[in-house]
Amino acid sequence: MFQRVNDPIDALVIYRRGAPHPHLEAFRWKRRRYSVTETNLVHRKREGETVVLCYAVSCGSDHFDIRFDTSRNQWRLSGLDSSR
Amino acid sequence: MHLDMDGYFASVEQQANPALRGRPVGVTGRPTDKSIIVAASREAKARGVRSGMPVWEARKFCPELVLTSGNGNRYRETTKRFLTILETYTPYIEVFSIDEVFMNVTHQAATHGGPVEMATRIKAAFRQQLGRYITATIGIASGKVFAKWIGSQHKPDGIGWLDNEEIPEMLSTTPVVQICGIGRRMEARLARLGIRTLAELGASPETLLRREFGVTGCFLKAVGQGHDPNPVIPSRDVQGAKSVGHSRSLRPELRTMDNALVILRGLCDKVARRLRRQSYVGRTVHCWYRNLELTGTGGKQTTLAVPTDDGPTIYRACLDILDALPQRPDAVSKIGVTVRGLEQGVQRPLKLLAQDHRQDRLNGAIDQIRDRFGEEAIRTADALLFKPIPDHVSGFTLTQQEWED
Repeated sequence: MFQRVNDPIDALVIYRRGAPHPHLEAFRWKRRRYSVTETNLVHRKREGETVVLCYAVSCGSDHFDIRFDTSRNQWRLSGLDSSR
Repeated sequence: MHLDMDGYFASVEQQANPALRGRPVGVTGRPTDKSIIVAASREAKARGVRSGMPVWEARKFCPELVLTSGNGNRYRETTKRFLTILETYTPYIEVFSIDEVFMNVTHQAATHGGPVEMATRIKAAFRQQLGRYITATIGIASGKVFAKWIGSQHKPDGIGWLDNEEIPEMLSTTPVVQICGIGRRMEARLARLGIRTLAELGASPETLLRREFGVTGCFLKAVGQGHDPNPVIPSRDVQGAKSVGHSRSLRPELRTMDNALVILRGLCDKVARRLRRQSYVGRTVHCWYRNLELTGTGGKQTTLAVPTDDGPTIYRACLDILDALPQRPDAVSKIGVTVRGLEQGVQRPLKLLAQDHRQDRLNGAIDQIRDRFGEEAIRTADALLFKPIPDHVSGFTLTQQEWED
């Protein structure tokens, strides 16, 4: 079941040359580390002057929506669909 | 070449969320039984669910239907990405809708091994760069309507090619209503003339068709003879908007005229904001509504003495229009406003009154705040009650400005 959240996370990203956006490798939420097994979709949206990158990723059987505020350099978990 | 994304919004949601893959999915505004299905996944379509179907009706066909709210930003961005992919194949792209394009590949196909090979490469590029759940069907023919038709015969995730030699048989066996631009009403009118197939349409006297349908009669005659007279017009070559408008369907419990006027006030602000962003002013204001029974629309337009890009001015014009209606409704199901007669803003007459300058400065300040902090950052007091539709329920279109941003 999909739940909306709005929690700050620590993100491990790789900036690859020529890639359109940073690759999210893993993140830490509520003291637990999640390794991204698949990046399903990434899209951009504008909030005023700010460009926000929206990631839809899977960590095994759990799926997460994560947003990256490029102005504030902040990563936040915005939603999850857990199999548990 | 005609490219049509398959169950677009639903396929994007399935690409984004693996929990939706392989399941019958319906994309709606609000995921309630009172909503309308905006897009259905191929699994849902296989069970009879269709776009435009109310959710309560869709559940009769598919009780296990999974509803998900739409995400306009996600679809617009995905469209920009697939347009970027297509631009590597041809610059002649006409954006027909957020999920359909026409392309002229007359000179480009040969460099890709022919049109079918080109279509195959495009679909492979989509799988690699967009995701394997976002698929497209491509139709190839000598004209736009025929390319669209042959694509529709190969959905989903297919490639169809209508060779010129196959067109005569296609004309003789295809009902007129299957052609884009001929709907149920025109089908009925043509049937009264004894015309049911495209071949019969092509064999009909042009004078008869023009008498019945005006200039459209020329188009019908040409199509009936296997020729689409309309070329692909690259969207980037189309300059200038002709109108700017917004409308809103009201939830059943909010369909009084008082609520509609609150909505209208906010819509006038949205129209004014878009006019200013594109440096337009408009002279003609059209205010319209749809009745409660969903059977008809009403409204009128008025021409202003001075063109405007100001929300309150547009709203006052709408109120005058509504007050002047011989039978102003007490309740409506949808309300909208459109401004036409657009001119470049620098051409408008200079304002003499201080209060007009003050309004311009206010509009400029509001625009600056919204540009920096987002559309929700500020609102005028009289539009306070207007709740902008969140991303997941608003209309999903891609304007030329958004494509270029």
